Amino acid sequence: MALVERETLALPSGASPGVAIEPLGVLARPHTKTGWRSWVSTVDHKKIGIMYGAAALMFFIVGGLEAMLIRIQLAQPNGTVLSADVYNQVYTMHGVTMVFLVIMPMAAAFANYLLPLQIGARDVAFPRLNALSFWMFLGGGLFFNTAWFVGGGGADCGWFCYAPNSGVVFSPTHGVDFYAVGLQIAGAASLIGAVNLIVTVLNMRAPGMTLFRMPVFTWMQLVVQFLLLFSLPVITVALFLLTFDRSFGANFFNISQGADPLLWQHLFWIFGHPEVYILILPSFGIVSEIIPTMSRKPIYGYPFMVFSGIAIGFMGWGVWAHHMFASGIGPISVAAFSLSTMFIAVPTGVKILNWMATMWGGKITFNTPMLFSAGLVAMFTIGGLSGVTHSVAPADTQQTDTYYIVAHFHYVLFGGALLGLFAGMYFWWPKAFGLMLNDRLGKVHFWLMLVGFNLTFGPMHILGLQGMSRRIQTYQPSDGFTFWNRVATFGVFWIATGMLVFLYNIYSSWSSWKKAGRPNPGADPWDARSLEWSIPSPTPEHNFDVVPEIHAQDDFWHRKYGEDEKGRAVRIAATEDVVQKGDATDVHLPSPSFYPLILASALPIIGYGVIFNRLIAIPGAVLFLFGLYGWAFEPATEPDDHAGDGGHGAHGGGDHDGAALAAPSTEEAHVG
Amino acid sequence: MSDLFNGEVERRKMSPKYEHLKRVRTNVTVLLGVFLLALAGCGSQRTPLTTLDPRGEASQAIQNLVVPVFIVAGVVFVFINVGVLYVALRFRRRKGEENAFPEQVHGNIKLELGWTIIPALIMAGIAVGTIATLITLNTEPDNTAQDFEIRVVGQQWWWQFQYDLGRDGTIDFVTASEMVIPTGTPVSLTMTSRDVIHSFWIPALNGKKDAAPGRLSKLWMQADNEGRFIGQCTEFCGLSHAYMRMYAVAKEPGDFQKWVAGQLTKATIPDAGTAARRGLDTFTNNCAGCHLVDGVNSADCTPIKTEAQYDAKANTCWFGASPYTGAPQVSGMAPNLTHLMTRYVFVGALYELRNVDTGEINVNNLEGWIRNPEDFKPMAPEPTRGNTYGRGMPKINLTEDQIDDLVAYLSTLAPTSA
Amino acid sequence: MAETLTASAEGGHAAHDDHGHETNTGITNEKLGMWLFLGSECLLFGGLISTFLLYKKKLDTFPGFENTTIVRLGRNVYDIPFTSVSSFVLLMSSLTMVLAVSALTRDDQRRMRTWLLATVFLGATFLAGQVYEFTAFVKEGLGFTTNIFSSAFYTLTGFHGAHVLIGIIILMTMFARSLQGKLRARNAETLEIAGLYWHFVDVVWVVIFVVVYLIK
Repeated sequence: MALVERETLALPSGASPGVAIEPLGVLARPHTKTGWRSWVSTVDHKKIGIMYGAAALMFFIVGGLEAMLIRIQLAQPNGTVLSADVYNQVYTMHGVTMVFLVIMPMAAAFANYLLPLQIGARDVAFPRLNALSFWMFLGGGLFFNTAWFVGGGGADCGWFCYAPNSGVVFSPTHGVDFYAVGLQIAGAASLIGAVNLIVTVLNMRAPGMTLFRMPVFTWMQLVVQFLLLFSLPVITVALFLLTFDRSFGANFFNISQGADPLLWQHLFWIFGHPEVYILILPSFGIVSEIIPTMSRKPIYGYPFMVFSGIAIGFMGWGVWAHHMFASGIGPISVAAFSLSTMFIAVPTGVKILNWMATMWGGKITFNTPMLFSAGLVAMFTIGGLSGVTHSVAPADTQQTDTYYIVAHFHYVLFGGALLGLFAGMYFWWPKAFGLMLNDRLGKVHFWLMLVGFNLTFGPMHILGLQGMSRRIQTYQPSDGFTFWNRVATFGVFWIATGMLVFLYNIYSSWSSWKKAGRPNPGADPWDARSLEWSIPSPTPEHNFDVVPEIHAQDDFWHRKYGEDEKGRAVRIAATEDVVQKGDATDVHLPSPSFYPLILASALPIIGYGVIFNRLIAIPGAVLFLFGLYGWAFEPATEPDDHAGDGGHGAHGGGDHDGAALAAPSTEEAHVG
Repeated sequence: MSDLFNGEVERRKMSPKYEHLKRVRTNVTVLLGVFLLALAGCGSQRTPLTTLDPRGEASQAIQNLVVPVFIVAGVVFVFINVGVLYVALRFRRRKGEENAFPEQVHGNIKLELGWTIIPALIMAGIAVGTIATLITLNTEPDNTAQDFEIRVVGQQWWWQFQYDLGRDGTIDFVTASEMVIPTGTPVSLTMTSRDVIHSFWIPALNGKKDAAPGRLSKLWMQADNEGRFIGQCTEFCGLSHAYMRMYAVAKEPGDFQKWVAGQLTKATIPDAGTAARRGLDTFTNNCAGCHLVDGVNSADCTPIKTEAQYDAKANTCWFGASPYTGAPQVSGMAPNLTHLMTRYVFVGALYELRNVDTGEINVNNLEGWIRNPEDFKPMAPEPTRGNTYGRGMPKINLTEDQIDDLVAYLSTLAPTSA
Repeated sequence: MAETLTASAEGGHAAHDDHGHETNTGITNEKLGMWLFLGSECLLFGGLISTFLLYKKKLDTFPGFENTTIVRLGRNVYDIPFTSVSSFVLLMSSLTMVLAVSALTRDDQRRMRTWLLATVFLGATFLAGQVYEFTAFVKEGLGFTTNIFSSAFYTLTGFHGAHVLIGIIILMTMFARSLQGKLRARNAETLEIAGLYWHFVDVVWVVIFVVVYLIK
């Protein structure tokens, strides 16, 4: 059904939406389809997805450079490359950047780009809110990083920023303020995105696309969006309390007034543990698409893959205090959270075994996406197992806050989430850009990454068991940590080289593709299974010429292949015959708008106001109101945007005005 | 849909390609060997903070649990990773198979149930051991010392140990950086903090436990034999987190009692006219605002400079009213120096104060520390936003003569019997 | 399976042209979005209420604080009858909101505007009561920064007040739209969605009133 065409809500269709914008007359509706204007005003989920990816890659480079600084500092005992103060900032900024500004938005990039395609929709439910999410994330991320220049240094409290060390007394620069406000903005962005994507998946599936025919990636993203929906408000509360304490003199973490230092920990980890699954499940989804495609087999145990994902989503809420085994929360709590943590390993294990079973008996093509996927299965297992050793609470009291846990979460987030995201980039690159990334360079990238990753983080297991505490700015020669730290630092250069190869691959693939006369890889270069491969590459603006009717899980595959009596796949139709041509002209799309960008750019200004001087907030508030007002009175779809689509007066107009309506409440609620 | 693992197994012939694989495997073996050798070589390097060398009941209980868990994890690790490699090698698409399609297997309920239930059972087994060990670690052993307990107080960036003889709630003496305990007897510890959250961790004796302001957390420790067991603050606590260390020093019960008796004495006033006496004057004028020496300043045990408690410590007044009531030797900001020279390390237990073997005072370190503390560890002694007094030892700008005198005085700070 | 292409082509067009109003769930995007957002809001208030409860309890047990002015301020400033009345006012506004939506579905513009205005008025009365209450507390010496209890109290009730204020702005926008003749029976759902939000804010207040004011 593509866009849910319906009568306007706030703007009655008859009452000329055109008139409604004219009194405003401030910003002409953007119409360009190319050039920078088309990007800053876009509401197209695909362009937004690409921008998410590009921004995440940019932040990945920033966070990666910070990581290299950390490793260079720790290459030898009594390192003097960074002072303690700068070191504390660098590792904090590294952690926050990687978690909130790299992995989350990179996963959001895939969600934005792929969810509508995989369910057969023409866009997300609220395209302008989608744009708003992106610009808010970007604004929040940049704002957070400006702490380096205007905040007296970055945040220096660690990514979970325990109170009361995050208080003004102990962290007197503005770094922590930027942490609190920046994450608040980025968090609100994710929350809006979560509402948007859940509605999209629940409401906008193509005919026949029942929930249990959805690709595993869509399922995992749906679980992730629900986790975001319910976990973000908790960190929102925590960050508000922190900001109120730091900027307005509240007492939430003022111990001398009787505040409880564990309040922050509980609030943070009630968010923070679902967050871990928010980071990893998208990659689980990605490899669940790639492994079947490259093995030429359907995903093994589809219902178990789906339900284990849902189970992880639910159980993820009951394990948060395993981050606090050493906090002194009482033996009963420790025992309970220890057990719940152990059992969350079960659905995770189910996933790993199902991936292996999918490969089993397949005809596996080991190209770059598949290598990264197999890498994830192997590396994530290591992270999962070290996680099991952490769930054993007595063992955890020896391991927590050492490099063992640093190793653990890097195996989960790098070996799991990031390898999966890279797999996804290689896999869907042709779909997004109409060109393939060079496979040979991709393999070089993979092996450099894999070796470098294991060189860097493998030794950290040993260091942790040898007693090296995390977040220490340096160590003593007598500690015996020197050798493995050197190895780890050596490894980080492999990773950096791998990243350079990746960036070079992007560049060289693009330029050779241009030189060769822009050959098109075709709609379905991998002989894949889900709907996004049934439309041309790059995806046309309107996604589907005709919205497909779905008859089975992996519907697209079943249009190409039947099964012989032995259950082997047999081609029944040529790919060219079942893919769409992308040449439809009468599809009515939501129109671009500047207002999401305007609204989003107001928030960092208000943020500076909260931190430095309330007066700065005034222009921000004015801009905010302007954006809100302009948004509310601008119809989501311009009636005359598409010539030749005469009859849309009835279903044009504000089919997203409900979105516009929801926006102020969302905004206000989170900006306060 | 045939059973996956009972299906027809393709028999692989020894092809030249397979030979090549074998070569690869040899190379891998060699590499692995080199790796293990390197690992072993580094295992011989001394790592005093290691978690794998328990020296007491509590840490031994953890070790007894950790080892089987690691073995189980190791087996699963090998199973999955070898499995991935095996599947990758065996089922990779070969030349000429461009158009070959495998059987389209969708799943197998029995297998799925199997690999749901079996891991759950393994976990249940681990859970039993975990709970049992948790109970052990959370119950003070019957033979826990009843004649004293220790309150461990973290502060940016050093540890204070308050000894409560008789476990009656009053502190009888305090020391810093080195926590002395008797061998063989479990000792009850109660942790808290004066500012931010710290974490107390002596890996050889027990796991870590946070020392959080406004909260008390319990831990017990027992050391089998005499020794100095190093520890490290493991909860990030700001600038000098890396430099916040401590030792648990286990002494034979007799030596321990002797040590206690010594700690209970007050410092003596050096004879007039000596360098030490001049040093005492320097001390009184420059250091006594933060450091206490029983018998010299604050004999009545009131904090000398109440204002000098930074904000989060009005705290200290608060702690004065807390279970730490009557802890006379609590100085707001700095270690109590009454019996400084019974300790071997100072400055966050990171620097040598006296040679452990000879007992000789490391004058260089002591002078250097007094001369310019920031050379020794990063601190923030200057006032900052929201904090009038700063954190850490300030530079006091003493003359060299004053420093010599002061060192002379500090060198006298040991019980005469010791 | 080859025929699916045509089938789907038809299906696609059919959805595009005729069944455009339907969604998979039968709930419109906007309404579903609002429900999800309110679900998220539950956890926002859940976090704030938990914080408040923790600190309310903490103040009683805080060593040395048992009988200080601060604690007395935290306990004895409530004017329960006053707040009960303002709570009642807010609850009544839910009723008028329902009446407004129902009037709109009948396209009874006059009644709809009346009930909408009544809702706004009741909401504003509640807010005014809150402002009065805050002022009275501050005069008694219980400011935002006084202690952990006051910080938690003002933050929780203040967040709720901000939600009421946003609701009032939304409803006034609706009112303005109806004056322009742009709020008709066929877009009654817009008002219904605004109403969902309004009811949620009211329900949250019931919880807050019990937790903050009534439970000792």
